Amino acid sequence: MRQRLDNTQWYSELFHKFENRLATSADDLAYRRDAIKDLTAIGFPGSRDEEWRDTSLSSFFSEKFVPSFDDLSSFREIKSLLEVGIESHRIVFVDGHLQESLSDFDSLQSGLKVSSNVPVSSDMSAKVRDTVSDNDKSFFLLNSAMSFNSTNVLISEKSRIEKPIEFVFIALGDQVCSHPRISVLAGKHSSATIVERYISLAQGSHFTNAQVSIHVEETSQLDHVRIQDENHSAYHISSLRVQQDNSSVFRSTCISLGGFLTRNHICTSLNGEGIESTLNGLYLIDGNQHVDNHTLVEHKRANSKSFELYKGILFDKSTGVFRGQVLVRQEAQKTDAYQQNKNLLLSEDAEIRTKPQLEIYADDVKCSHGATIGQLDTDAIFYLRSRGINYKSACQILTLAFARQITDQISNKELRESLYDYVSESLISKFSERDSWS
Amino acid sequence: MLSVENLNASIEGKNILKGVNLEVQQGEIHAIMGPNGSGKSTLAQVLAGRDGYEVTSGTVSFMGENLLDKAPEERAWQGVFLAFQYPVEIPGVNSTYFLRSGYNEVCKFRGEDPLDAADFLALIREKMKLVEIDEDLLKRPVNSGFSGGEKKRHEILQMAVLQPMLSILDETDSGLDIDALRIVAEGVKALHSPKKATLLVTHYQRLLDYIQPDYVHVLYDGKIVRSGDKSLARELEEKGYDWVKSEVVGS
Repeated sequence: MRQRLDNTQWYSELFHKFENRLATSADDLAYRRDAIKDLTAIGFPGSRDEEWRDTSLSSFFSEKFVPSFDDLSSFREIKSLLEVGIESHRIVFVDGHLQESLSDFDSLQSGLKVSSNVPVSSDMSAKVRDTVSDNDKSFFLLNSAMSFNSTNVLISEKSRIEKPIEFVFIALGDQVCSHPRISVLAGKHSSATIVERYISLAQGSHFTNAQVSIHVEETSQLDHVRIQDENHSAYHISSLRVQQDNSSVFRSTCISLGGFLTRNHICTSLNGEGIESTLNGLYLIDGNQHVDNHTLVEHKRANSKSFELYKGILFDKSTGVFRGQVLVRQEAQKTDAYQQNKNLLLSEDAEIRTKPQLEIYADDVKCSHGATIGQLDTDAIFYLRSRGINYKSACQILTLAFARQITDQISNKELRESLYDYVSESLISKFSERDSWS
Repeated sequence: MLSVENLNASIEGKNILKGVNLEVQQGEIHAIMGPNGSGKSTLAQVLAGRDGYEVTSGTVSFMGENLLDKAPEERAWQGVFLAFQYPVEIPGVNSTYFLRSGYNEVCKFRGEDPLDAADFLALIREKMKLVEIDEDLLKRPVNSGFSGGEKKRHEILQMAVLQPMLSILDETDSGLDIDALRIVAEGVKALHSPKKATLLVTHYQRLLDYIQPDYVHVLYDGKIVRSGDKSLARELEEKGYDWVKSEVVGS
């Protein structure tokens, strides 16, 4: 029996209070009720759960987040927030509510279909419910019960979607919880870029619990980029589940800049042969921020490749966790799997716990993994300084170069450059706020 | 211009320099020679301000100011340049950006206007001719994937851009084929002037076939044990360093 110190009771009461506003049909209501019942039964993870040992939810349990039902689409700051940014097919949510007037539903490229207000009980995530691993089941169930609606993205066969498909999730109200839910089907021979962007206008704590499912069909290519820059009091939980078919190419770039407590879970299932799967990540944090990245790459069939590179830059008393698991099933001969986690600790108080794991049941595979934790290269610092670059700038240049390896791998040029600039700005402000480098 | 007096320096508690004295005037080229482990590179690194070396006694003044008080970047602003024996590879940092950042900080110190990317490119194209470097090389990250010769020519290019008063070349000739050696040597010669000074730190005579030094010093066991004109270098080449060692031990 799990020790119950968590706040499932709070969410259960909350759900029953709002269940009729959340459900779209009798079936949907039944599905949601099931989810909250299961959540109440299993509870939230605690320190006894191996996969949550390094991320404590105790402060989360003392919060009482509530859903918002206000119409906030005309909020002035939202409009100005959306005036900047890249060219994209943009879909905007505020506190979990779709904002049709701020979204580009009218001008979607042919071959791209975005349907909002899909019942959570019948979307792709609902279909894979049984495969959700125990360690992120609780938040999946909470999302299933509480999400306002689900959004389906359909990229039809042979379509090349030029502009990124960009989901912007804005947290507006303090103490509000939102449960974004997206499913993406990339049809055969298609190519596209999906972006998830999370930002806060809220000043105080809020809670985002995002669940995304992606199916990349044969020979299609999908780039997935998520950038989370919520305020430093926010709780952010996310899960991304990816199914890949024969000869598909999937690349995920997971960038975490914001949040007080962030937990990202990415799980890719390589169901066919000749697949390429890349998981890249960057966490750039300071203060008391905590970011936990959990990944699982599962090679089920032969002749596929996976690459994984997660990089962390940690200032102050921030803490990071990386757990990357590569699982090579017995059938998955000739697998090529590479995994690395590299960390720069820029303060004596910053902390990282890293655990790369390989689990291999096939005998003819090429797999490697590793982790590094370090400071900036003193030889490189001296080299830059000897050319007239001051110490702080030298550290900044080297740190940015470290981060750049992640943003550089994004296919879409405009997105790649804008994210590099975004990360660069965040990093420069961290350096300029601190005098320990002068 | 540069005055080193009784310089003692150690690294990790081990004494490397044991009382070096050296006077370098404007317009002069000095060569510091010596066997491996004699302290040549340490002297170059200490002059450039590398962390990790502890100066236990002695003074170094450069253009009338105490050099040892200054951070490496301040020395660069004042006109000290070290061409590295092993130039550092810095992945992710574009070569041109790197060089412009340094150049503009030097400009700021000198009270000159910084150059924007386009003007800097024009400047660098001019300087590239001197060392026969391909422009594509500068689009790559600093020294990343450069050959040994390219790295050394890149050092000389940086020197040409920064226009230092005192250039210290640490074993710049090592690992170069004959063509690269000629290009590097011609570059160094072209950048020398009656207002500037050059310090060549080298193990071998061969660089000195191209650049005639005004003075040659032999560093052995952390001290300058002999000084002379360029004929001393030739004598060393013929007799080898054992000759110096035996003389020092014998004295």
